[in-house]
This record gives sequence, structure tokens and C-alpha cells, in this order.
Amino acid sequence: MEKHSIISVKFLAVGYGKNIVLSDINFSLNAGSLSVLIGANGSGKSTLLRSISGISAPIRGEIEICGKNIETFRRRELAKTMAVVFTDRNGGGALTVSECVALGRHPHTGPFGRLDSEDKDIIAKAIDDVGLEHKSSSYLGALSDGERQKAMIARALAQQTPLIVLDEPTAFLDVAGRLEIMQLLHRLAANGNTILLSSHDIASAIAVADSLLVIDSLHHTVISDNKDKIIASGAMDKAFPEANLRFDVERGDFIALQSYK
Amino acid sequence: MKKRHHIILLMLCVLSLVLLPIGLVVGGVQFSVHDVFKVLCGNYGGQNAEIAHFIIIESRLPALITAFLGCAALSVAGLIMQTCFNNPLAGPSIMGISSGASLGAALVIMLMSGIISTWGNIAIIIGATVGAMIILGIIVLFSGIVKTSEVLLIVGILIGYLTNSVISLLNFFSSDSAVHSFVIWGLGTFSAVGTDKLAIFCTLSILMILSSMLYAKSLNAMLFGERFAQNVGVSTAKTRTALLFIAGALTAVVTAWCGPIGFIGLVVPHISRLIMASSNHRILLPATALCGGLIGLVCQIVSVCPTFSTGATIPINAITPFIGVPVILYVLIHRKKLLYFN
Repeated sequence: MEKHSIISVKFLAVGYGKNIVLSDINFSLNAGSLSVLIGANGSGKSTLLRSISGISAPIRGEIEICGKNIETFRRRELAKTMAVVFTDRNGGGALTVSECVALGRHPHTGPFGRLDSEDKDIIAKAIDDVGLEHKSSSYLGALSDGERQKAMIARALAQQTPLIVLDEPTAFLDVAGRLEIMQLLHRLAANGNTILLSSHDIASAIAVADSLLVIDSLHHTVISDNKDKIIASGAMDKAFPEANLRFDVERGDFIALQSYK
Repeated sequence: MKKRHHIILLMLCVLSLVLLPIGLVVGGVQFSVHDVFKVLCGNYGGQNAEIAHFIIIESRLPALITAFLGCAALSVAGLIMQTCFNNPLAGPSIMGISSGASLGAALVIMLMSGIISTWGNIAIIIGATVGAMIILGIIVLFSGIVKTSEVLLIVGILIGYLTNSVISLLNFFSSDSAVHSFVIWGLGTFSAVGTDKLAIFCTLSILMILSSMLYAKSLNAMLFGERFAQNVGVSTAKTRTALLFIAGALTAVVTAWCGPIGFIGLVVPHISRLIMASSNHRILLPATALCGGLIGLVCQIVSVCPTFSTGATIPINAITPFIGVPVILYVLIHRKKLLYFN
């Protein structure tokens, strides 16, 4: 059965002002898939995610989410279509986990933000889904980095959007935390959520990804396809063309071409 | 809201209600609690009935109500600014709005060469409001141009410096009596709002405090920054402009009538975060308003205490730092331990 596409990007060019950072970007992500955006620092990962999440307008081309051009969405409607989890760690420390997750209901509730029993069930389920039910009354500021990230993911789930975008969700985490978050995202995708994330943690990202988006730093564009096809085509090496690295298919990670003694 | 929060809010209400009669009793002319009660019920007979009525109903009661609402308004303005600018040290005075009001008042006082009639008082109020609104307008204009809250805060500080130096220049070229009048206004007092102006003062401040409550939902989203708020559906530019307008207008009304009152807007939001142990604006906004009102009553009562012996009152701005500085120092020293900073 053909899965329908949640996001479809055509001839997209993104950048700052008139400065194009990446161009000729074409890809589409299917419902229930987990896709990972890979690229060197400064290659335009965040710029691309900013455009995809509707924060900055694309320079050229179009982004369609659920069949509708992103530029025609109203703010609230977009909030019901896509949830974005950012890397910023500060703020809201004296909110409890459930108060934070309740913010995901923002676009669904009235001007006073009153939560009905359905909203409360959705919030409880989102907290359950990320495995934080024992911490729902804890303050965000008292959580570990990994738990805090889970709370932010639960907020995105409570937003009940077809698409969830995460900018480096494992950036501040240790190995165990990174694996846990990746497994969680994998599980969420298996439950039908469409997830796009950027990551530096190539090995654990590749382990769970369905498709990959690799930023080709030489040609300032994005190569995207099914994970196995991308790896087989050798496209992974284009992410870090200048570094002394090669993607090792066996290990599923980059290794140094020259060994150090 | 948890049960604990309800209890604390109730306690703040009860404490305010306890302080109110104390405030009516304390002052230069001494009345017993029994006398005060009689005056309030209109049963106070005797030779001095008119004087007692004037002192209690037309002087002390309006001053206490002004103190309560004025400080509540400044505190809510401070909370809004701290969340909007994502900066715990933001407050009504730091954005230059108090300075704008001061400049407006200074211009009027200097023009009248310090001789202040009844009309003069009204002119000062209008001058201060116009001054505050002009600065507010400039800030709102800048908030459309500069995208980050930090830069906007710096713009506010710069505008504050500029208006203060214009005030200094005005002082330099003014008569001694004008400078004296301006200095008196600048010390801060809650006694200038008489019964005639009280109704409009109450209406304006209560309406604006209540309208800020409509934004509790958006303010909570703004705790995590602008991008986050946008992503959950807040129209950040529109919301921020509306919130800044409310905060600015609250400051303008209070500054016009009471002079530039320092520290309250900066400190009370911290006190309410500490006692409520929450950043949730649904809890914080009412707590901040009540807490500010309570502190206003304390300041007013302390300010009239020395009138027992000397007949003079202590300026409000000489009292607020004694409450404000220890709290800010506590907050700065314990910054890492305080959850709301994380």
C-alpha cells in the first residue's frame, strides 16, 4: 500500500536574506516514517529546518505540508499540523512536566486555555508515551537533560500534529540518553507519527532511521532517499567531503581514514 | 491550580484585609479602631466629625487603595516585562517608561515654575501619561524592528538614559522652586490620588490588570522563548505588542499619579514566584497582583508611621529599596538553585 506523503519539498532554496545556503532541494516524507537530516556544522541543517518549520520563508520553491503550501497556513493551523522541538534548554524551570506538556494543547484550546477531560487524557497519554508518568508533577528545572528532552517531546505529542520536527534532540545527552531518545522516536514513528530530526549522532540516528537526508556540502543541496539506498550509493561521504572521514557501512558510522597512534 | 496555591492566595487576601484597618488607624491624628469603624459607618458624632471624616475617608482610605492598586499594577507590569523579554531583571523602570513619565511631569512642573495648583496637578498627570505613552510608542515601534527581546531591552535602557539626561538639562535651566516640586514628585507618594481621582484610577488599573489575565496562556508559552511560542500557535509579534501596551499603560497610570515608584515592578514577580513555587502565569498573575498590593499597603503604613511624632511622611521610594534589594540579592545569589531560572 502506498503511504501518503506528509511533507513534500519541491525545488526549495533556503538561506538568509538573499544568501542561498542550500538549493534544489526535493524530497517527500511519508506518514509514519522517521527521517534523519545529516550534515556538517554550518552546512545549513538549522536553516533548512527553520524554513520547514515555518519560522523563515523559503527563498525559492515550495514546502507542502499535508498537501498545503506552508506559506498559506495561519499560525494556529500550522501549530495543529507541525510540532517543533528546539534545542534551547532554558526557561520554564518552575513549570511541572504536566504544565509543560499542556502547552501542546495551546492551539486546540480557547482563549483562556481551559483544559477539558479530553485534553487532560491526551496530556496524560503523551507523558505516558515518553515514559515520564512518574515525573508528571516534577518541575522541569529538576529533571535531567534527557528527562527534560522527553518532556519536550511529550509536549509535541500533545500537540497532536501529523508531523514532528526535532532540531538536534540528542545534542546535550550522554550515550545512554541519546539511545533512549532515539528508541523513543523510533517507537513513536512506529505508532504512526511522522518524524524529521537533525542529528550529529550518526550511528544511533542511522540505526533507527527509515530515510536519510544528507546535506551535500560541495554542491549545496540535499540528497534524500531510503536509508539503504543512500548508504549503498555512497552519498553519506558527501556530508563531510573535506574531512578525513569515510562512512563505514559495517559500523554504520564515520571512521577516520588515517588511524592515529 | 493546586490547593496550596489557593490557600496562599487566600492568605494574601486576608493579610491585605488585616492591613487595611491598621492603615486607617496609623497616622498623625490618632483614632481608635472603634472610632475608625464608626467613621466608616457614618455614625461618628462629636465636634470633630467632619475632620475625622476627611482624614479617614478622604485621605487615608484613598491613599491605602492607591497603594494597593498602584503596587499591584506595577508588579503585574514587571511580571509581563520579565516574561516578554525573557529577562529576570526587566521592570517598568528599566524599559524607560517610568523615565518617560518623569520627563513629561518634569516638563509640566518646569513650565509652571514649580507653582502647582489643582489644575497644575492635573497637568502633571497628563504630562506624565503623555511622556510614558510616547516612550511606549517608541518601544513598540522598535519591537517591530528588532526581533530579539534582549536588544529591545537594551533599547529601553538607552531611551531611559536619554530621557534622564533631558530631565537633568531641564533641571539645570529651571528655577529652584520648580526643581523642588519635581524632586518631591519624584520621591513617590500614594497620597496624591484623592477621592475625586480615585474612581478613574481604580477603573483603569483594575481593567488593565484583568486584561493581562487574558494572556496567561500565551505568557506560559513565551517562557520557552519566541520560537516555541510561535510553534504552539502564539502570534508572537501581536501578543508581545499587546502585552507591552498593557505593561506600559499600567506603569504610566501609576507613575502619573504616584511618581516613579522604584523596585516594586522588579521585585514582586520574584517574591510571588518564590512563594507560589511556580512559573505558571495562571497562578503567578493573581499572586503577583495580590502580593504587590500587600507590599504597597506595608509601604504606605511604614511611610506614615513617623507622623506620630514629626508630622512628616517618609517618601515611598525611600522604603521600597529596603524590600527590593534583599530580595534581588537573594535571587541573584541563589540563581542556580532557583528552579524558575532553569
